[in-house]
Parts: sequence; C-alpha cells; structure tokens
Amino acid sequence: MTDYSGTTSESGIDLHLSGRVTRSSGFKLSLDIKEKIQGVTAVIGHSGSGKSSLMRCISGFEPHASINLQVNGEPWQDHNVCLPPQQRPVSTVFQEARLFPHLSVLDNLKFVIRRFPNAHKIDALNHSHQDFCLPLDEVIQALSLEALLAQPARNLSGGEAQRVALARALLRPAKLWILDEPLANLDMQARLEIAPYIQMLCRRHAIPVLYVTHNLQEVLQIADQAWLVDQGQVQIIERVGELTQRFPSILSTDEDLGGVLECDWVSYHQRYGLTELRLSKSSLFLGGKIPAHTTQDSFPTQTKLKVFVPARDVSIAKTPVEGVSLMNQLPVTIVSIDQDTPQTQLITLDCEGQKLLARITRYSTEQLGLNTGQAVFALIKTVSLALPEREYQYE
Amino acid sequence: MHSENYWTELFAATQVTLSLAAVTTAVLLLLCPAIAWWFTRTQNKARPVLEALTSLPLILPPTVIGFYLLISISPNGFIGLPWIKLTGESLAFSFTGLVIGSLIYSLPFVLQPLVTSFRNTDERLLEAAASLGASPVTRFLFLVLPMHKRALISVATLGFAHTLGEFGIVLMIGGNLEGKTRVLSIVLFDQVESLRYQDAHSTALFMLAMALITMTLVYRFQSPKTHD
Repeated sequence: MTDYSGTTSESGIDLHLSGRVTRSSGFKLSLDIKEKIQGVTAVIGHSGSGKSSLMRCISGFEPHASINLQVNGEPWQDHNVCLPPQQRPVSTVFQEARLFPHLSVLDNLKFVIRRFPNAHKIDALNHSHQDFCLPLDEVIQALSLEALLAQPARNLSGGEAQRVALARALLRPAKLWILDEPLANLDMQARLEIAPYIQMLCRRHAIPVLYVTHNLQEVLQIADQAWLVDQGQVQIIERVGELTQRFPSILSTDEDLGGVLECDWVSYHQRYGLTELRLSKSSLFLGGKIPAHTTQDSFPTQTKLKVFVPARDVSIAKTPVEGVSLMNQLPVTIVSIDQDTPQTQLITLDCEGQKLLARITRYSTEQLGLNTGQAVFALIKTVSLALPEREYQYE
Repeated sequence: MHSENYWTELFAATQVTLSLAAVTTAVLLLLCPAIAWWFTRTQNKARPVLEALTSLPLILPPTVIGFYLLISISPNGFIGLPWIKLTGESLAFSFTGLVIGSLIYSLPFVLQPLVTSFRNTDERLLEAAASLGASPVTRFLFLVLPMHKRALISVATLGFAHTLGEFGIVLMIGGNLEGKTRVLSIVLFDQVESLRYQDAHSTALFMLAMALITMTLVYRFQSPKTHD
C-alpha cells in the first residue's frame, strides 16, 4: 500500500484571485486574495454571501466573470485566458453527491479514471505525480465502498452517495480540493456516517482544501484558517479560534455556537452504551460508541478527540447538582459574560484550560449572581460526535 | 379476390417503405441529438428561427414541402444540379430523393422530443463531470445520451413510424417506380384510384397493423417509471 498519509508538507499552492463577480440581481463580490494556502481553509459566510460563487470562480464555472486568477503563477483566468473546469486541477465535492445515475458505483469511479489515464497508470502513481490523486483500490478501501461497487448509483442512500462522490473526487488528479458544503444536504445519521471520512480526507492527503460551510462546528473541527465571505468581501482569518469572538454574526443558527473540548479516549462501557472520555481531570461521557471506522477497538491512548459542546446545551450551577439526569458536570471558571440577544447571555467558561460556551437567560445570570472569575459547574446535556485530532492515523 | 400482381406489388412496396423508414431514422438519429443539444445550449440569436424552421413540417401541408423539394431536387434545382454533377444521377424520382424528403418530413418528430428531453438535463451532473475532467464531447456522449436513452428510443420509433405513413411528399417527388420509390401509402392510393377496393382493404389493414405495432413499441418505452 502506498504511503500517502504523512506527506502533508510543502504542498500549499499560491493563489492570486482578484476582480469581481456581479449578478443581474445586484449581487456583487469583490475579490483580492493573495494567499499561500495550506491545510484546510474554511470558507464561511451566510447563505447568499457568495461562498459558492467564489468557489465557482476557482473551479472554472464563472467564465464570464471579470476576474484574474493565477495558481502557482500560472494564469487560469483573465481577460485572455479561461481554462475550462476540466482543465483545472481542482477536485470538487458538491453539496449533492451528483453521481451519474445511469452508471454503477464502480463505473462512476471509472469514469474519472478514464479521463486521466496517465495519472492512473501503475507507475505514475508511485512516482510523485504533479497532481495528487489516489489509486482506485485505495480509494475503495479508504471509503469502505467494496459492498457498493456493483450497485446502480441511483439506489444509494444520501450518505452512501456522498461517500462515492468523495471517492470520485479523490481519483481526480488535483492541486486543490474544494468541498462545497458536503454535509449540508444530509440528515443527521448520514452526517455522522460521512463526517469522519471527510476529516480523514482533509487530514490525510497532501493538498490544500477549501471547505465551504456555514456550520461553525465543522469549521472548528476541521479547519486551520478561514476565509470569511461577508458583504461582498473576503476576509482572511488566520486562526479559526478567533471566529467565535470576532464574528458572532456569521453564526447562522444556534446549533453552530459552542465550544470544542479536546479529550482522551478512556473506554467504551458496553453495558450502558457510553464512551468515556477524559479531560485532564474530569470525565466526560458520550452516548454511543465512536463509529468503528474512526477508531479501532483498542483506541490509541495518545489520540486526542475533539468533542463539540453546543452552547445552548450547557447550563450553569453554583454547586454540584444531584438528583438530575444530566451526566456531565464539569468544574469551570467564568471567563466572560457577553450579551447575546436581549434575553440571553453568552458565558465563556474555562474548563481545565479549554474554552466552553454556555447560553443562558439573562434572568438566570442575575438570579444566580454570576460574575467573571467565579468557579461554577457546567452541566452538559449533549455532547456530539467526537472527531479525531490531526495527528491520528486511520489505519 | 385480389388482383393478379397484388402480393408482389405489396411485397415490393413494403420493402421500399421499410428501407426508407430505416434509412431515414438512422440518418435522423445521427443528426438530431447533436442539433437538439446545440439548441438547448446555444446563446445564438438565430436559435429561435432555426428551431421554428425545423418544426415547420409539423404544420405545413406535406404538399407544400413536397413542392419546394421537387423544385430544389429537380435536375436544375439548387440541390439537384450539384448532385448530378457529383454523382451523375438525378435526385428526382430516386430513392435518395425520397430519403431527403422523409428526412425533412420526419425531422420535427425526432428533433422536438429530444430538445424537450435535453432541456431537462440536470445541469449539476454536467458540472460534476466537467470538474472530474470530462470535455464537452465526453459529457455529451457518455452522460447526456445515456441519460436520455428512453427519449432516444422513443424518437427512433416515432421517426420510423412517421416515415411509414408518409404520403404527400412522396406523391410530389417520389415518382412511382415499383421496387424503387413506390411506397405502401402510394400503393393504397393507386388501388383506390383504380377502384380495386378488395386490394385497398388488405393494404390499408396491413398498414394499420404496422402502425399499431410500432406505436405500441413507442408507448412501451414510455411506461411509468419503475424503480429499477
């Protein structure tokens, strides 16, 4: 098996994108991006902010936009040139799987290989090919597609189809990956199924990823830096951690707001169906088993897991509470109290050096007499799927 | 009682009719998908006029088309003259001339349903294909055509059936040479003209059966979608 897991270095691209996109509706997007992009860049903004237009400029679906696009010094689009999408080494996964319905899963994959016979020749894959792609057998294995190969693409469930779409994109030689809200159209079950694969792909292979989403949870879990598309402009955010403080307005829904805790895996309690995780001192319980494809039965101890805790599911007590069904109670310190909406406040908590957010009513804050610096207990109702840390290898 | 030569006559005419329909359908199937695709994709300002032009055979009396055809394929016509220079043969009253006539006559029946079907192509799939490296030609051949397989089968049958029933144009340009240009509809016409009603009955019934079988095939392919 070819080793492609550790080759994350020196693989950024230089991207120069300037100009503007205008629509007859009056929508306008001004672009002036000069970045060396590496790792995972989240592209965030409200729906309708122009995230998708921005991605379409890069992948070649805006031939009429007056933009200037250079990648690694190579002109992709200006007033003279416009490379069509099939000639740009960009691999895109869309919101919908967009599988070819008349073909089987395997034929969907082979469709891509036939377009790039040279990149998929046996020797080409072993040599460092200029553009990144994976051989078919590895893609099938990495995305657990063996059982689906013979099925007609139209018969797949949403999650399965998106997995095939990811596979298809992995077969396409590329310098850049664009993931355009790959989870947005999936139900919760399918999201849980797909998210680990996306994590794996973002972390595992060697080329930069632009990850479009308006879900802050995904950003915090996956991305290194972010492009914020807002009011027709693109702002570069170096660290995604700054997002919650600086740009609370980008949060499209309440579910997006929350903190991420890094934990160690301790054990899985078969009898209760609970996974036990540990911060440096306290324990945290997660309903269910971490999906098999993200872990082995014996979980490597050095592995850090990121757990998302939605702010609306955190409440605060001054003393440990007994006789309630909430299982997770963590000792925390109040870092700050910010007005959120007229009725609610957003409380930033320090939990063993990590940041947690709680959204509670202003009434409760005043009733409890909460102040910054105060030691309290965070009661956590739900903890969502833990996603593995960067250094973890899925073998 | 049938007249003396009835069965030979019917057999010869059936042969001509079927060959004409087959050749016409084959040529239309080569031309129409590309034209239909162009119609659905182009921004060209001439597109509406061209589309209207190709649909004219739907509404014009076949005799009108036949008349213009007759003039253009006559040995001095703008198609007929170069054709004679090129091949040494006259188009008028030849099988090739009939094919040209049928092509025009049946064109809208193949082209229009294809245009309608192609307009319903899922643009997102084509974008996905482009981003996966497929050129426009590849997209057309390997995605658009297979995705519209039903429509292609149905227009093929429709074009075939429609050519079987051609009469007006053939009457104008076909001549009436047995085994060459005499088709079934003309045979029937002649039989009625010469008051051979017994023959006419059989011919008409035969043509009716042929049409029914073909159309049954058309509608078989339009059966409600099963979840296959």
